[in-house]
Amino acid sequence: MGRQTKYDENQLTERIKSDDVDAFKKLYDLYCQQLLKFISQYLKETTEAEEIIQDVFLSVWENRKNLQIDKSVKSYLFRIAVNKVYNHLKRKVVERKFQYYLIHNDINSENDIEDKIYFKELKETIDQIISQLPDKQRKIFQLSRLDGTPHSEIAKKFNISIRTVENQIYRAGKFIKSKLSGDILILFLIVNLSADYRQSS
Amino acid sequence: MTFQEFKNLVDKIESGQYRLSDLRKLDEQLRDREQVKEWMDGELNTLISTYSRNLNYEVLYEKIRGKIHVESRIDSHQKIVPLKKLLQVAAVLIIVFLFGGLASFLVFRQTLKKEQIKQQYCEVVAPYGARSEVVLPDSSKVWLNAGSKLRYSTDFNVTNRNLSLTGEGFFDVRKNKELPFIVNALDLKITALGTQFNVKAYKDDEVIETTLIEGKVKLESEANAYKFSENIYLLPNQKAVLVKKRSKVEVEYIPDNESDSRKEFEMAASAKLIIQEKIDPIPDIAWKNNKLVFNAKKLSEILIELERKFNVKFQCKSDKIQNYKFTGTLDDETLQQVLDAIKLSAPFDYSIDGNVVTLMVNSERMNEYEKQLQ
Repeated sequence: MGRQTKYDENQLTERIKSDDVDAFKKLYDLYCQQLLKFISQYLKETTEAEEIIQDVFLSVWENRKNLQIDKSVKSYLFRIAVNKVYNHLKRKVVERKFQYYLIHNDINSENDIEDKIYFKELKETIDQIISQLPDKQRKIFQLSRLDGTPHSEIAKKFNISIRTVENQIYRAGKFIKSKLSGDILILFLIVNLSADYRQSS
Repeated sequence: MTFQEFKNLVDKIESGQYRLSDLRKLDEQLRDREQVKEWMDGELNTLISTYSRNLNYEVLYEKIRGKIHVESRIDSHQKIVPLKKLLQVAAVLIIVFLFGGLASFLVFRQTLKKEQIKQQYCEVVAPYGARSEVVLPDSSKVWLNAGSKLRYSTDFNVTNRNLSLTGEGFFDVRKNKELPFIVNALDLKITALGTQFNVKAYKDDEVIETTLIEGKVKLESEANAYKFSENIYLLPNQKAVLVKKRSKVEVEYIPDNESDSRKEFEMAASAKLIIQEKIDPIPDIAWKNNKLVFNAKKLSEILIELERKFNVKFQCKSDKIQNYKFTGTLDDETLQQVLDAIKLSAPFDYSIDGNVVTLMVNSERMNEYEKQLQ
């Protein structure tokens, strides 16, 4: 039985290597449910879990030429899945850290001493990253994200357009998150509330 | 830490119901990459595969299949066509031998070509939720955005370089002075020699947009509604927006009081073409690198792009929110990450149910926003 499975798997790998889409579908049928059950324990949203599944199988297809016949395609598949989930968690933590920093200001609100140190370090790290920003960009970011000054006011103050203000804030956020995670950042959206709202009412 | 404790932390961080200590502990544990991966690997290998969610596995497979499709289809197309041509040439040669006349050779080749034109078309589709990349027979390259279709006949690059497009495509065109490269995008005809440009012509959009990155293109239309009086050329960093002819004009306004309302007026609106100069083309072509770039773009327009990108439908009860404008770049995010980011800066909540995403106003936060605006 065990030998039979092994043989089938080798055959499957070989067929996928030679661009056989039916073999790829077979691989999907064999492991999709197992993978999805695993992934959905870490990602609660179905759409997100689905996207990871897609990524996992697509990367098998894209790397099919490098598959090794004597190594199980299943273990390759699983390794990719574990990596993707791990990276997702890393990214999530960076996002939450930045979010926490933006919302909470007071170190003393934490009771636990370890939390206090952790938050202090987080604050210092992000403050340090902010200090590396170009002068004007830093001031704009601080006014907007930390002091809550409306964009229109900032624009007036620096004598620049609101679009430039938004652009600067966006760049600052992107820079901070990329430094914080060590990889390329994800995203930052800014509402142009004040300007837009007054225009339309 | 045990694996179970680790998973409890993940649950909290994932759901958003977490304290700083949870964040700290998970952050610390994740630094031990080997341990975490070992845990997960053990877990994955011992899982028994059962249906874990309400999910259609076949639909999901079709999505994946859609993304690998183009490559294999184009490959087979490029392999099959030369073979057919070879057979045709062989047939012609036999005829030449039989009749021994050059005249008959020409006559037959002509007829064969005509038949071929009638019969064969090549179609490349990028379904909702996927993008495609195509290399055409003349080595021009086309990127297709989600929900788009490209069609050309098999004599492309033999007698013509005509294509038809619905949806959005970015074209990187090979130079060939003898065969102009013509894109028919709904009612708009775009002619290029060797250039890079983006065309956005979705059937359900109100405009057809053409953005030129490099070179020069000519715009024409054979449809009566859009007959231009002169030849129109686009230069780099110019963008042409063709406003389609409509029978109804929608007028939106936001009144002072809380109630959201929208009225429609019957109006005869004529089509028009707007040429924008010195634009920044980056936001228009960012999609081909799987990015979305918005410059003060209305949420209502952003939602349409997200629908195409993620193959979902949005329901939004409030017009007010739809008029908010956002600026920013979405890199390779999941739908949830995108929504979380927007949620962070605008007062609404969302819920996802299958393919339907519902946006709801969070009235508490909305009040705070209103206060800030005073």
